Amino acid sequence: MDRERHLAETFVELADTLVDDFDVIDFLQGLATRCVELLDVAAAGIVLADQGGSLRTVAASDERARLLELFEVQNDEGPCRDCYQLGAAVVNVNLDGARDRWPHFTPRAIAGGFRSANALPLRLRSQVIGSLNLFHAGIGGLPSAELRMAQALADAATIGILQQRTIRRGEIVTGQLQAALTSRIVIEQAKGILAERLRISTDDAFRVLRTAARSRNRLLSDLAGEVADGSADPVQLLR
Amino acid sequence: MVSARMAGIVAGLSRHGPRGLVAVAPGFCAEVLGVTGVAVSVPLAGGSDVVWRTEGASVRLDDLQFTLGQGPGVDAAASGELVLEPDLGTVPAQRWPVFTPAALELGVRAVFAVPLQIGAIRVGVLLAQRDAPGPMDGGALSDMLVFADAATEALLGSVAGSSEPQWLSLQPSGYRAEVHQATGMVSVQLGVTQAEALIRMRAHAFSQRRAVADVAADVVARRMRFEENGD
Repeated sequence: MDRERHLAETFVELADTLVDDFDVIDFLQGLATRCVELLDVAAAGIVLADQGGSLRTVAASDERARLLELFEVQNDEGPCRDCYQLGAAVVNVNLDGARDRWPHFTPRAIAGGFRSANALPLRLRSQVIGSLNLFHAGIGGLPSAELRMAQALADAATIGILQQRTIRRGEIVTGQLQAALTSRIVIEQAKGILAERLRISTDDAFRVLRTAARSRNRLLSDLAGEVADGSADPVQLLR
Repeated sequence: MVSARMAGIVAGLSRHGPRGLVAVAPGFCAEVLGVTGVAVSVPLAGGSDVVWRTEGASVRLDDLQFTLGQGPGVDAAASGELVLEPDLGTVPAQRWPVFTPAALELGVRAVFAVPLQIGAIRVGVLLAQRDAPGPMDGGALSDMLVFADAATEALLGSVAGSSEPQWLSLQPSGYRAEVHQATGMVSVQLGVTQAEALIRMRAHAFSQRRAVADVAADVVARRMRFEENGD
C-alpha cells in the first residue's frame, strides 16, 4: 500500500476510534504504533505534563521497560523536556552530538540503539500539554514532509486526549489530562499484579491485558481497574 | 504551574509526613485556592470521615453528602475523576436532587472535588467550596491538584492501616512507571492491598537509604522479593 493511502486510512481509523466510549491509553498506544509504521522510526512515545510540570509517559509503540525508561529520564532532560519547555518542536537531533546537551539522556538513548530523536509538541491553542517523541536508528532524521505528518499525528493525540468520555459539564482540559495520567498509573499497577500472579514480565503483562480487553470488547482501563482492585482474576484473563 | 504560596504549603506538608495535614492551616489553603472552605475526607466503612477542614459550611457539606450519599465528593470518590461545578444554581436538579438545594441553603454556590488517589489506590477526596459562583482559574486548579497529590501521600499511611512508622511517607512515590508496577507485584507477594504494598516498599527504601524508584526497579527486575515474614 502506498504511504499516502496508509496515512489516509490511519486518520480514518483514528477518527473511528473517537466514539462515545473509547479508551484513551489504548488510543494513544495505537497512535504510537502507527507513528512507527508511517514515519519509519524505530520507536515512538507520548508523554503528558502533570500539574507539577513533571512529564509522564502515557503510551509507547512498545512497552519494553528500557524504552519506557528513556521517556522517563526526560522528566529531567531530553528532547521531550526541551519541546515542552520551549513550546516548540525539537527536530532531527543527532544524538552523537548531543552528549553535552543531555548528559544523562543521550548515553541511554544511544545504548538503546537510537541515533537521532524528534519531539513534537501536543498543542492546545497556546498551551503545550505534552510531547510526541520519535526515535530513529539512523542519523538522517525526518524530511520536512514527514515532520508535518508527525505533527499531524501529535495533533491527533491531543484530540484523543480531549475527547475522553470524562467530559462533563464544567470539566476542562485539566480533568482530561488528569484522567489520562490516572488511567496510565492503574494500567502500570495492573501490569505488576499480572506479572507477579502469572509469572511473566511486565511487558508481557501489558500484552495479556490488552489482548484480554480486546477479546472481551472491554476498555483497557476498565479491565486494568478490575485487576488493580482485585475484582478480576488474573488467571481468567488468559482464557 | 504551582504558585509560590502553594509550593510553600506542600513543602510543609511533606516535612510533616502523615501529620502534615494537621500542620497546614485549612483557612490559608482555602485563601490560596480562592475558595471559601476546604475539606479532606477519607473513606470509612459505610461512609467517610472528615479529617481536615475549615470551619463552617465545609463541615455541613460533608455531613450532607455522608447522610444523603450524593454530591460532588461522593461522585469524585466513586469515579476517580474531577468534579467541578462552578455554579450550583445551574446544576440540573436530577444530578443531586437533595444535596444541591441543601448546599445552596448553606450559602455554597460552587463546588470542586478532587479524588485523592494513586492509580487504583483511593485514599479520600478533597472538596473545595465557594460562596460565590464562578470557575476556578487555571492557576488555582493547578494548585488544588498539586495539593491533592501531597495530601494523598500524607494520608496513604493511615488508609493502609499500616504498622510502619508514619513518617516514612516522607518519600514521595514519584512518577516512575516501575514504582506502580512494583506496587502491584508486592501486593501479590505479601497478599496485601496496593496501599499497604506501597508503604512497605517505601519503608524498606527508607531503612536502606535508597530511593523508592530503585527498590521498585529491583522488584520489577526480580532481583528482590518482599516476603510475608520480614522483607
